[in-house]
Order: sequence, then structure tokens, then C-alpha cells
Amino acid sequence: MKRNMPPYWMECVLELLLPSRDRETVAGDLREEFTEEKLPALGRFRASLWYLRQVVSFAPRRVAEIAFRGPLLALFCVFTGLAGGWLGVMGILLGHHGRGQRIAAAIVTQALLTLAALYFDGSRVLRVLSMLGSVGTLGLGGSALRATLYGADF
Amino acid sequence: MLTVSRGYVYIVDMAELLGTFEQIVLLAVVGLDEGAYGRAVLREVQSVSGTERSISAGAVYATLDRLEAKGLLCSRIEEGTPSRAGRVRRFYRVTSAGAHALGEARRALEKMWQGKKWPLEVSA
Repeated sequence: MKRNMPPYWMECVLELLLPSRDRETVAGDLREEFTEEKLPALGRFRASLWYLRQVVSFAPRRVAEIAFRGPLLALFCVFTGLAGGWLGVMGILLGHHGRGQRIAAAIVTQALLTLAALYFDGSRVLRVLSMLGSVGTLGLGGSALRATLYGADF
Repeated sequence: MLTVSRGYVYIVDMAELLGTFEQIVLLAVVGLDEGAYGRAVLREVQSVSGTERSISAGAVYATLDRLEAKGLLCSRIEEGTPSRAGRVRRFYRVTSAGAHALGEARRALEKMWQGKKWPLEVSA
């Protein structure tokens, strides 16, 4: 039965990219098209590529919506990404062991917050996540500043 | 709306006129009548335009949402089938405002085409 369905992870990404209103309808439409039309005509690999292309086509709109709804969250995530990247490079260049893992953990946490915010669109949850994201970013930024000014461990 | 003043033709309220893709989607919904749900509209748009590869589902659903937000389409939810794991289907219908907008767009184009020869002769 599962062989007739689109790849599970692609369906998950699609649902993540869709607003709650369209989550069931659009995912159902694409699964129907995949199962009844694309899979018999194109085979599993090419049908999966077709499905992936459709999933990706929803991304720009979703990102724009989130950026519009939660500009602070988007800004904080960009800042955290840049700060994390810079700290990571510095950690590698200066050979400080142990920083990499903490930076990676901070970035992963931030990414998870962003993904959760994408899923719970336009709700109180988004505001709470934005707040958590801001606190995390401030913490990261503070640590980065401290490490830069005083050479302290991040 | 087209307004003629001092021999010039001005297109007023251009934002009110439908874009080409919006017209295609609206006409697909009109053509499908009672069967106009997301997947059917997607297939119709892709078949009519003849460029299946270049028209993505994201573009079609975004246009459907926009047209609905403008009040040119309305939708209703119906039960899903086993092939879609019971997920509901959204059926679309063109509203009277949508039909009016399509008519306006067609009239505007016809007016612009009046007196033009086809194929167009343009100097290099």
C-alpha cells in the first residue's frame, strides 16, 4: 500500500508548507494525482521527483507569509544563523574544542523553533515561539559578544 | 475600464483587470463546472496551457486562494475518497463578481485588438 503513496517525508514537508486551511485538501489532491496518474505513467522515481517539485513550489509563498506575519522571528533566525555561522568559523580557526557542538545545538534549536512556528501559523503559539526565539537569539548574541570582547568561552 | 480622451486610450483601474493566469484559472473552473476541485483545476490548467512542466501546483493553488480572497471564486468542502486517504476536497465555483471580471477582461482585450492585423507587423 505504501508503495502507491508519495514518500512520507515529502508529505510531511508539504503539510508543513501549507496553511492549516489547505493542509488536508491540497495534500489530498496531490496524493490522488500521484497515485492515480503520475505513478503509473512515470514510475516511482520520476513520480517522486514530480511530487518533490510540487512541494517545493509551495515554499516561496509560505516563507513570504511567515516573513510577513512574524518579521521579528524571521529577523532573529537570520541573525542567529549568521552569528552561529561566524562563531563556528571562528571556533574552527581558533581551534577551540567544544564550541562547535554548542553552536550546532543552538542553531538546531533555533531551526526547530522556526519549523514549529511555520506549522502553527498565525496563532498564539507563533507569538510564544517568537518570544522563545528572541530569548535564544539574545542569549547567543550575548555569548558571541562576550567571546569576542573578552575571549571567553562561548 | 477603458477611457478614451483626446484620442488616447487610457486603461483605468488596471489593477481591477484580471491577469492572464487568473483568467486561465477562472476559465478552467467555469469549464469544469461541478467538478472543479483543486486537482481537476490543476490538470485543466496544465492541459490548456500545454506546458505541464512549467506550471506548478503552488502557482495554481496560490491563484485559487487569491481569487477566492477577491470574491471572484467561492468554495465548498466535500468528503474525500479512499485514493486520497479520506482527505476532504475543496470544490470551487465562479461567483457573479468573477463572471463579471472575466467579461471585463475579455472586453478590454477585444477593444485593444480592434483594428490590429494578425500576425502583427512590427518594424525591427
